[in-house]
Amino acid sequence: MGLILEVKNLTKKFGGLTAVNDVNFEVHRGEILGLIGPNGAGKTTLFQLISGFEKPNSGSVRFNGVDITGKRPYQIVNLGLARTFQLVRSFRFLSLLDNISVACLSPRGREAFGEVGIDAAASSILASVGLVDKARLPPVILPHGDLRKLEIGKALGTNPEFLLLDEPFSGLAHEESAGITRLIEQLHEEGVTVFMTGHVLRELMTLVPRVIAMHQGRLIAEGPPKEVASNKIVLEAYLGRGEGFA
Amino acid sequence: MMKLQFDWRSRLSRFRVWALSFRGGITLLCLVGLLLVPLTGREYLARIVITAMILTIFAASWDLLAGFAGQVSFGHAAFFGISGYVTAAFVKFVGAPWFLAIFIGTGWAVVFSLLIGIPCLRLKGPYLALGTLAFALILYNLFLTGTWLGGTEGISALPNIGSVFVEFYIMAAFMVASLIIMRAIVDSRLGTILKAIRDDEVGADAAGINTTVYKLVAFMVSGLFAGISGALFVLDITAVNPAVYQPLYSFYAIIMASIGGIATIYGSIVGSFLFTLLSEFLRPLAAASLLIFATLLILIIRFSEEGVMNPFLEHVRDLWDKIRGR
Amino acid sequence: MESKQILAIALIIIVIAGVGVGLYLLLPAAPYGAVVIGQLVTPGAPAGTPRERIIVVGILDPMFEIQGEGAWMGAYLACDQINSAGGVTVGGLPYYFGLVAEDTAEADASLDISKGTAAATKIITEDGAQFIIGGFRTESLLAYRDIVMDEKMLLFGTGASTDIFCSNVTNNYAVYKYFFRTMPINSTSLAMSLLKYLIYLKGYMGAVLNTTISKVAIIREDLDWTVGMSQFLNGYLPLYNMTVVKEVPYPITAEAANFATYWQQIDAAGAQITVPIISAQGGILMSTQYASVKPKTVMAGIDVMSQLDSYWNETGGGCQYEIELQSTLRTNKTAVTIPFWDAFLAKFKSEPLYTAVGSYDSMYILKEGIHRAQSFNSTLIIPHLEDMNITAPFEAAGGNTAFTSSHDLFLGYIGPKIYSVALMCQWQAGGHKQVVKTGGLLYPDSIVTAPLVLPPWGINP
Repeated sequence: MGLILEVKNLTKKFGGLTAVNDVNFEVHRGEILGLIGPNGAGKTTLFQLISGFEKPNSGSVRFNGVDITGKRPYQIVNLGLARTFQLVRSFRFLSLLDNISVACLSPRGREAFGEVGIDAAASSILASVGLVDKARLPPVILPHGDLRKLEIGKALGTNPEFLLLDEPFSGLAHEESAGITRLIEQLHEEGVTVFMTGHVLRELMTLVPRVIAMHQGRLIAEGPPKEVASNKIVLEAYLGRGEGFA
Repeated sequence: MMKLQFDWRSRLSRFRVWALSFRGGITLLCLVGLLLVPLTGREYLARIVITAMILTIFAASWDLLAGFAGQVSFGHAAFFGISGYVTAAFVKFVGAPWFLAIFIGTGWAVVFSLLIGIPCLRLKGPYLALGTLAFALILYNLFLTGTWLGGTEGISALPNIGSVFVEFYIMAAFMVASLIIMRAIVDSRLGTILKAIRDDEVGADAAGINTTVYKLVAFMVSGLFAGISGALFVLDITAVNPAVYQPLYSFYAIIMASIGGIATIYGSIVGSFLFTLLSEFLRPLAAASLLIFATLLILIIRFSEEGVMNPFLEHVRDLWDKIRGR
Repeated sequence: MESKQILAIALIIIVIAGVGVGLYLLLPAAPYGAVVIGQLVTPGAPAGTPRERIIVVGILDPMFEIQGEGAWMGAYLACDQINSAGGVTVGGLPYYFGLVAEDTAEADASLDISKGTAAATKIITEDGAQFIIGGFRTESLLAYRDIVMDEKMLLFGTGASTDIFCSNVTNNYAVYKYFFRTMPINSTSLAMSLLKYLIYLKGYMGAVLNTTISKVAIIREDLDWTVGMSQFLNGYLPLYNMTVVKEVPYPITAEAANFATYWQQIDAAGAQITVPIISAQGGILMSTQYASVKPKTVMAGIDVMSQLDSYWNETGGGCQYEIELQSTLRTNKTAVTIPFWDAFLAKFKSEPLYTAVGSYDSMYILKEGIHRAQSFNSTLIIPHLEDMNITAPFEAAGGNTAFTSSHDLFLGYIGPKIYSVALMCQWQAGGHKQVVKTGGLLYPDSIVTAPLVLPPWGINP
């Protein structure tokens, strides 16, 4: 087992606002870790820092023992840490198959699937996210739920060991959420470490054995979801009641 | 040996299928029509078709960068011009044969595509367009004020590469080869990655693609073909001067690629031939030609956002199907 | 497509075509010598002259700019005159001249030289031109000249002054011998002529004003060609005890360069003579502001726009007292200059531009060449054109034309015989342009039409 991700004293300021404030935590290899917090707690910024899309003001991120602080996103991806976005991103004029192929064409993807196996790999990833029957379609005509699946599929194309899923359930109906949940469970069984956010606790509860909670840029709680959900500070944070408020 | 033969046969049968398909048939017909032009014996026609063919390569090279890699350049004349100048200089001052000079000139265009590409990498959208435009203008002014390579007069009196008709087939070969290679590139894995960067650069980064390297590759490939067209242009005109760096030529490329249809490569043929031949055939109408020309352009842009090639082919195809159906 | 749509499109096409034809029929009849493109015209030739008796001369120029129009008008007038007088007789048969023009678009701000090469190919292979007159912008002419040379066809240059065309004749005679320059004088001679006149002016003004004239200002558009000219003057003027006290290079891109300020600066520097070196519209503003600021200095130099007769009105008379260099004016350069001038003015209601003089003369020179060679073969005509030398020049409107060994114009005068010289012309009261004295440095006083008039507000001490 052991640690796969170590975040130490991570801080990010935007002007006068401290979006991520001295955050410390670890992720164990093979686990599913949840990150909860109200809107604006700094979850997405934390993901941006880990995946290299933002550079921290201080602190460090170590992945598999390697310091990845300040590395470019594609470099981090090729070390095995892939991510999805809260607002789905897709290559609008490429077919779904090609959307996945692009990720498979990353150096890490090529290493895993070989030059000749890229189409096959992309197809099998499409199958595993349940989109294989739409392989030739462009993403623009897909419903939102399918785009979420595609988003995860693209991340899988880079053959990740570690997946950052930013709000994978956002905007989904209940049944679609269930599909994503099954997908994440399946990935977990295959040995992929998953670190995901969600601001709706209900979805995380069943899936995630351990969560950390963020509020105003700080980590405020850690533990099994039920415990954290009943934590007083977390509840206040969600309900928007600071201690000074009645 | 057996394997090779087998391969040939499958290729041949694939070619047969393609040639009998609608698009394949039209392409072959156009190609045959093109190759018959010199048989008319009309030098003037041959010469303007030569110009159209050269500008086709140029427009397609712009389309490759803008339409497929999403890097809109307003300074494509820089690659066109530098290659033209170097080609002319090697032919004139070193006495290099023209085909060698094309390679050298094109090489310089590739080097310049890196020189322009690297500082412009951080720029996006209109800023990239202006950045590249600025580079071309700098080159224009450098060559205009400088006294090297002929100063404002440039380099002239280059030897002809052959009679107009010989030249015609050489240019046709260059055009067909360039277009096939460019189309193969955009249909390849590299093309898929470039299109991904065009559609969503952040997404491509998140998919583990080193966007910097691939954008530079796009600049270089585009610079290469723009360089080839610049070299051919100068060899055809037999002279070069700082005017090759003018924004005019960059805009030629943009207009031609847009008329034909962006992100098609082959659309450049339609755009370039339409533009060049139309502006030549309107010649006798004098000042009115510009008016007619501008009106047509506006109509095309207004009513055909994706260029004229694909919609036109679809209409013809519908018509063809109807005729065969009856 | 729906049949309704097809019908609609057909209707639209019919309407557009109808409107087009209607407009065409309603257009007023073209005036004398109106420019036509790609179409053979044979002014003055007897009706029904068969095509094989027409000698086709092609005009390659920016046909929608004043230079191209000028070249066309000059050639048209010559064509009309020559044909009316019976054409040229070769092998006992009369032949008549015809003209055809193609636009090279070489004066466009954005130059596409492939338009020039296409025009040259078209005029030769489609329009059937046998001889070519024209050329304006060096970069463009350099490219399409080669096409004409490849055809071994005579090319009379009437617009480009760059030395390279004639030096190429010397360097590679076999290829470039078909080029002859009939207008304008080359750029080196232009600078030399200007220098000579400044030397004369220094002496003349010094004597008249009883003071030492030594302070010169230069006002020029900031372009490549004016840099060379300025360097030349800065280098040579000190040898003749004149110094450049102020130089104003103004950016040609600036919409309204502040000439009032420039004139105040020049006046403050104490300049007695100001040399403009200008080809573009800036001249109009310069002359207008000169009249309102009234600097104590006299203008003498190159101002291309002021060669046009419309310049007086455009500057509201502000160009009065301005002396500028011009190829031809209504004066007795040769016996044919004044008749040409008057005929041109009568036919076109405007004075001829230098390209008009050049193309008019080219037509007559060509006619003479064909007559002497009794052939339409350019290669055979060349020796007869080369025979037009200092001892036996051809009497043309722009001067007695004598070709040098590099097929350039021989300049200056010998006795009463005036070759191709530049004239110093001054705008005088009432908008009349007059040829003024150069003390014999450029041309004899016999062709001077009026004495020099200095500005009444005085000259700096």
